[in-house]
Amino acid sequence: MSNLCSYLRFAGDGMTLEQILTALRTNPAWARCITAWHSIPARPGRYAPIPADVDARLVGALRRTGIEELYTHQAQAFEIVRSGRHVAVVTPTASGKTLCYNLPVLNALLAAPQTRALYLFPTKALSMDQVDELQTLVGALQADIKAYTYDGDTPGAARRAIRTAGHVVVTNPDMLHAAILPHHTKWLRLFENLRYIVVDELHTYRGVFGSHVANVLRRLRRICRFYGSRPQVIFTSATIGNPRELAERLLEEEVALVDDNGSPSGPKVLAFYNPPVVNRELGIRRDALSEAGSLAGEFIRNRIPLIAFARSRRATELLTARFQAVASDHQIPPGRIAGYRAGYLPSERRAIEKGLRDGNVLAVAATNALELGIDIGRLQAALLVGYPGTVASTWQQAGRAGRTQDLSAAVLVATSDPLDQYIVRHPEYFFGQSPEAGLVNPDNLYILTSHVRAAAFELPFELDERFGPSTLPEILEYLRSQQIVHRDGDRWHYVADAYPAQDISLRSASTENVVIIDTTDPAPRVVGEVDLAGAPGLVHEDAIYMHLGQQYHVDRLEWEERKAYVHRVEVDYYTTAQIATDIRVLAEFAPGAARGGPAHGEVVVTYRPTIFKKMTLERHENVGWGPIHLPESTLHTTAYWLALPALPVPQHELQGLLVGLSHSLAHVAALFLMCDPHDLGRTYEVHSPHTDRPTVFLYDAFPGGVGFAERLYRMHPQVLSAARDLIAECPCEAGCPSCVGPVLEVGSGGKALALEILDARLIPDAGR
Amino acid sequence: MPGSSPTLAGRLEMLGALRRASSSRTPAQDGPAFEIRRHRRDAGEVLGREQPHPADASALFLDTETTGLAGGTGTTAFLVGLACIADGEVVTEQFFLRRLSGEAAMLEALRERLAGAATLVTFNGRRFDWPILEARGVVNRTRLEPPAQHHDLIGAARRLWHRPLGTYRLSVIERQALGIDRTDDVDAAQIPGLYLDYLRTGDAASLEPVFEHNRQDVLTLLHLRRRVRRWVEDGVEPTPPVDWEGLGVLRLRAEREAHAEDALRCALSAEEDPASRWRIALRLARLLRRGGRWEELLALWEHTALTRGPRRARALIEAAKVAQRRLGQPDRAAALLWEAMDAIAWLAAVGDPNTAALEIQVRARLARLPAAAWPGAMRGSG
Repeated sequence: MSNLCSYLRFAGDGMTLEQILTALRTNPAWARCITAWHSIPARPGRYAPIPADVDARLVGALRRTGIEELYTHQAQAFEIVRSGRHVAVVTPTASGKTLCYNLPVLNALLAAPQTRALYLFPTKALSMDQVDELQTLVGALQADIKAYTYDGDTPGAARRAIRTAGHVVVTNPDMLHAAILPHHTKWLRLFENLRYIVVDELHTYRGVFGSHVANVLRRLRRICRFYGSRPQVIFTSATIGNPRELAERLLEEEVALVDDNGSPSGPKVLAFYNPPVVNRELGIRRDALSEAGSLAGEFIRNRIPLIAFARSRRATELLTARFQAVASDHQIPPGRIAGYRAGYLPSERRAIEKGLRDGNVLAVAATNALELGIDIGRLQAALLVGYPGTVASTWQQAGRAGRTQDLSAAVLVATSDPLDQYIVRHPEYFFGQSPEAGLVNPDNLYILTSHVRAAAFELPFELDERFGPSTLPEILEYLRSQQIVHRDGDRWHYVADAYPAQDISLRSASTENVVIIDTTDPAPRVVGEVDLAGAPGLVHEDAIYMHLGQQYHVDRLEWEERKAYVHRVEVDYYTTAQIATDIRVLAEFAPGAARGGPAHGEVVVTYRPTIFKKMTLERHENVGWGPIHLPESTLHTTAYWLALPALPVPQHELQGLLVGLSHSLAHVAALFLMCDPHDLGRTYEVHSPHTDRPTVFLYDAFPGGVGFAERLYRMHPQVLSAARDLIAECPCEAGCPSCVGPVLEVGSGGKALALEILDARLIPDAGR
Repeated sequence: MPGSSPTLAGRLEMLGALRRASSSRTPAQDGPAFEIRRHRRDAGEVLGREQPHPADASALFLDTETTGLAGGTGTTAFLVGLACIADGEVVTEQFFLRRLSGEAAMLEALRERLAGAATLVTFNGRRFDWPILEARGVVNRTRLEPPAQHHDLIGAARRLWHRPLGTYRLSVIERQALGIDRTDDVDAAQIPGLYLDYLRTGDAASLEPVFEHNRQDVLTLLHLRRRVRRWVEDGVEPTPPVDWEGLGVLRLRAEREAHAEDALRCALSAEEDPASRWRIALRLARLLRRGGRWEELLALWEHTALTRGPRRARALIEAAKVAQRRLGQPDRAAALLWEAMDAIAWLAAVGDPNTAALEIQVRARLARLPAAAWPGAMRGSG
């Protein structure tokens, strides 16, 4: 923004990254906003000889691709695989983790050509990337080893060849679930000879998706048992707190861990930047997007390759527009700037990835759709606009800069979000914290039941068979009552006239989409899509939807047809939707709430979209509103709740207190759970019919829950004291979005009351 | 309900059985797990005066009833109907899965039965019935060997009847082309549900219509196969409804060229749609070219040219090619090309966008002809 430019121009043109960083630290206007400057020295590589039992042809091929020795972690992984154990390799991006599985797999293939391997990548884009890499090595090997991608885009004619002749089949869990396992008899050769299963990007298999994938792996291994194979599993993962636990939870067997990274890396800087407070009374800080835009400008005009991560689609669009403005000021062609997020068409995304790799794209603004290991080459700088939500994904996004030996930098620009504020004001928490744990709940009854159904379709269940928890007989009995299975003799047989896998989406939101159709021109055109869950808030009638920097007005939302009709507009506001939430407790698992305190259990949540607000783009001011007419929906899930002691305060103050507490608790809770903030819902009741007290609820946003509620219940003391610190240390006077929420919502006494209640009544030893 | 002697043990047993029945046991627990139901009928009676096709003596006709139409490993064939011809009789055998636990044994028996057959005849069996049997074989560890030959009649049915009937569903072909009328036939969509009811109640009576349906299906295959063979391989004049072009294609594939030509000529004379006429002409042209029958080929193109639109010009060009290259008659070729130019001029006049390419092609061909062959008018106009 132009009014900031006077002091933002700290750097001249043609500077190196090192010079820019020095300028950043020495310019007082910037330096006072920097709350942490974490330098990571360059780390030399540690090497090990290629193990003696690696086939000579493979050693030769490695030499030809420039590999004379292995990194220590690669050698260690090879050793463990040779010993027959499952392994999880946890190292950062660009540490040569693909060789950790390609080496044992290719070695086994050279020794026994009938051997088969199955590679699972979380996304299609990633599998294409990895097949290319494997092909290069196979090419250097000059052996008859066939690696194929098998996904929705694989042509019918190629499929048969892949089923019988593919040595390495590269696919994703969705495809395995919906197309391969239900047709396992056609994949006889694969399953009879399956020796290795590679599960890359383990850390992405958490929450609902991970819980589904755990069940897909149960089905996969059940089928392998039928064909008499016992494949070893090689997991690889970015750094998370519990890689081994997560792998073992997914596999239900012991997994060895390799996490001592032997690869070299150049020096890195990770800095935290907290935009200055501009209105102390309201606790308003300068907008993170503008700040990030200005900072990015410094990198862009010095031609430093940059990636900026924003947390929302909307923010991505706004950043892209800012980058474009900087580019045009500095004679950089607009084609060298790109946006990247879910909702873009796959071809658009592939083009951007390629542009980043070959250097044609200089700067990209992305959502975490680009967080995964998609190869976009070597970027020098990363800007994180807003805390990505977890320690782990912060390191992953920061790791997008600096895949070379050179200096790289990542800057986290905090928003006024409570979580952001907590992190940038407690850098020691961030840097001292091991990354979060990946949580899965493969035994979620909804998820488990749908996969038992799919498994029964694949093979009859034996009476004494095990599939996850001990509830299998009850589930089969239930499926019998639904006329899906039939018991005869010692087995349960599938008898329904339906293909079960197609009703189950592993990614709760990804199957059903609302398509966005631009009707501005005579020929209507699909411009993008949003997932069903997000649709009521994003494409309700009269919403302003943004795509590729263009604003669209939603004229009509055909809910049943899943279509939104829009036309292009240029307006100076955006829209934000409000959704009313009701909660009812069905069962309480851990008592305590009646006495005032935490509890968790089963609840039913009802949502009703009510109104939307029009907010100005410049100052985020409310300039209008309108109703949303959409059906209400219910969610049966698990929740954690906190009943407050009876308090002698007036109703409106009590309400302010509850708003404030739920606001701060929800944000802090996301810190302790490895979840997207949207995975956790929150609401409160001034007088809960269940607890008979004022009560704050945090609930799992997926039917049946994936374990957040119970986890929060167990971490209750830490959650409360972190919420307390967040509120106590916030510089605002009576509440702001960074702690308890805006004053307008919590009232003038809300912040003080929240702090008082936390200190005096909720945290027993808080008499500090 | 078995057992009437009220001993203590018996009553406990009954109580247990009741409790189990209310939870998971089904009544269809006694007797063999699968059975084979055999019927014999005089072949002439089945085929209505006609005799079975001699070539079908070693064929096995197969049709299955399944627990679903979804395909994939979890779809079970609970009834496999077979028919064959032996000593002037049509023998049907139906392998019926009385209990799901009998599937392995049933598939094993089926494997043995199929082992002797040289040819399998099905309707959509390549895509549906056989993959299901094969998949269930793998699940039950019984490898079903595919028979030496598998004739799936769906392809021929599509060629012969899709256009005249608007569909090539077996039930429609059966009624409208084979003249078979079924009374009280069960709705195919209900069959999975009926079997599921049987599994739960043990009452096989309600499955009788399904057995009958399946028996009729395999017998219809016999009819259909006979009909297709007689029309295609034996060159018998077909009775409508029939798609002559489809018949021509089938006869070509069966290497019955003379009969194929008859069918294609019938198709051409009956066809009015210009696009279809052009397609049929191309097929006929291929056949004539293979036989080196150039005069007839030229006549075919001249005949095809009796139309309007771009195809007139193209047909004339084709005719000119034959005249020039095959018959060595440049004068005739030039005349045809000149006619083509007229046709193109007419096209251009009505605003057809493709005239330029056609005109270039005709001019190029004219240029390659010896100048002596050019008609006077054209030489003059230069």
